[in-house]
Amino acid sequence: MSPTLPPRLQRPSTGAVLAMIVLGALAVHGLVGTGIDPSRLLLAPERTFRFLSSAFPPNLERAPNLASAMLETIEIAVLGTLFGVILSLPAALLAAENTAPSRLVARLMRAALTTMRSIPDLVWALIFVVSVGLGPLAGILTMTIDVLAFAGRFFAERIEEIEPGPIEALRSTGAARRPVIFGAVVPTAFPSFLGTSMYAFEKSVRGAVVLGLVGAGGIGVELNVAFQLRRFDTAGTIVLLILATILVIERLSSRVRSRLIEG
Amino acid sequence: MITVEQLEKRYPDGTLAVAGVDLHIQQGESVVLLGANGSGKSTLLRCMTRLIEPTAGRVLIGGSEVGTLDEEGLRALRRRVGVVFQHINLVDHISVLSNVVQGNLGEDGRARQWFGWSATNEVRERAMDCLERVRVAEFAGRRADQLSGGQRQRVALARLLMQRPEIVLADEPVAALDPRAGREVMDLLWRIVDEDGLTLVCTLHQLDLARHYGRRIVGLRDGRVMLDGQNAAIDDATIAALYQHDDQHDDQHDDVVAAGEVGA
Repeated sequence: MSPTLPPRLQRPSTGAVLAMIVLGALAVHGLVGTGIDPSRLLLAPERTFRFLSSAFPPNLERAPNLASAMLETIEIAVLGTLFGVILSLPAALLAAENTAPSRLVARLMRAALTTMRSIPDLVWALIFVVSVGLGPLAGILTMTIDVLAFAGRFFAERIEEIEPGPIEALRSTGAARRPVIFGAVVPTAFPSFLGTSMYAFEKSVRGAVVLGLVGAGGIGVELNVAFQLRRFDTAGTIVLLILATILVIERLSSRVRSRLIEG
Repeated sequence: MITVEQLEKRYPDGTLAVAGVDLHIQQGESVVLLGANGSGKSTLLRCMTRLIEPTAGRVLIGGSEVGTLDEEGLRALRRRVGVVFQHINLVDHISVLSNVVQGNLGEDGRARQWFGWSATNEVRERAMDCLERVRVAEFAGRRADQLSGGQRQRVALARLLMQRPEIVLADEPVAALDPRAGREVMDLLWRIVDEDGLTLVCTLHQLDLARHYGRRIVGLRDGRVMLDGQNAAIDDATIAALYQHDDQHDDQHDDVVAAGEVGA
């Protein structure tokens, strides 16, 4: 049989066609059915310009309050990361196939971590505001869950990647499960745990900034109030403060992380 | 001391790595298990203390039947059997001293004995003596991954000494080392075994090493014992037959360490 020239185009699969139809229908319905008024876009440049011009010069009247709110945000991130990382270690040991007491436990732990991750931050924050009230405690609990869901999964993946040799060596001495885990598994994965934790901290500073929008403490509360009172000069100041803080923290954290990788 | 009866190991993919081995080893005897890559010798060695579970047959060590032991009993048995690995298997990110201290974990698994810096004085000092005995004590404070291959295997021997075993199972202890470092490690291992009156089973694939160090040589091919006798009594042709038509069918299992799991 002589080779035939492949056709220029291939018929897409039925699934792909269906997916395109569904997505297309949603897009059309979204544009038409929700009553979006395109003329608003025409007004947008003027309004944005008004916001930006009233945001400058920055208003430093509330500087002390803003500084303490920003500090609260950072503290929420620090504490949330700390508690999250501490909980991540046992969670990861239960979720990793090679350290879990049984397959079932590993699967349940994984499912729990996936559930935590699938519910967005702000939804967790709303839940915790209901259960512990307004304020930074709700924020700390939210960030704890956020970090646990993230770091727990990454720790578990690292544990599963560990080469089995040293584990076998300690098993061969007659060591029980716990000394093997803490003597061989944890030290091997430790540098990676630290790097992941630093990254989780960066992530949670960014996350903690907006927690205040739903009343879970920190700079987000100030931002929300400034926008609602249309104090755009204060709002602009807060946005700049957030930008500066996040840039500094990311710079510091990535420096620490690259040290960890080299060391 | 060690009796193996009709031992068999079939891997889940169908490969028969050990195909009915019978072996009897006296207390204080040194046996070289010789065979090409894929002859089943590493699997046989690991089946002895159930680091890999055999699929059929029996192993008796010092009177107890290994296959019937519960987790506690198996750990007690493993304490008496030191293992040396081809891939050395130190924990890289911790100190040399910590690695040696961990040889004691079977005997004392309390949290403070997990690492060199936290262990009791008695354990730290004994670990230092073990390092001195294999002449790498000057590296005690270094991280294990900063040492050369030969030095690392000596540290592994110190970890073995820390365990105070009666039996040593050595799986290609020098295959990963250059020839000179390999000779040094072999000399040390044989001296330790002689001085302490230990029983040794050592797998090798290099004929010259087997001839030099072996007293009794057991030859394996395709998971079966093909020859078993005193080194001096075996002629070259018989040994060469072990390496003929090198059947590669269980090559992939020779290095397998079915040990990703932490439990017994």
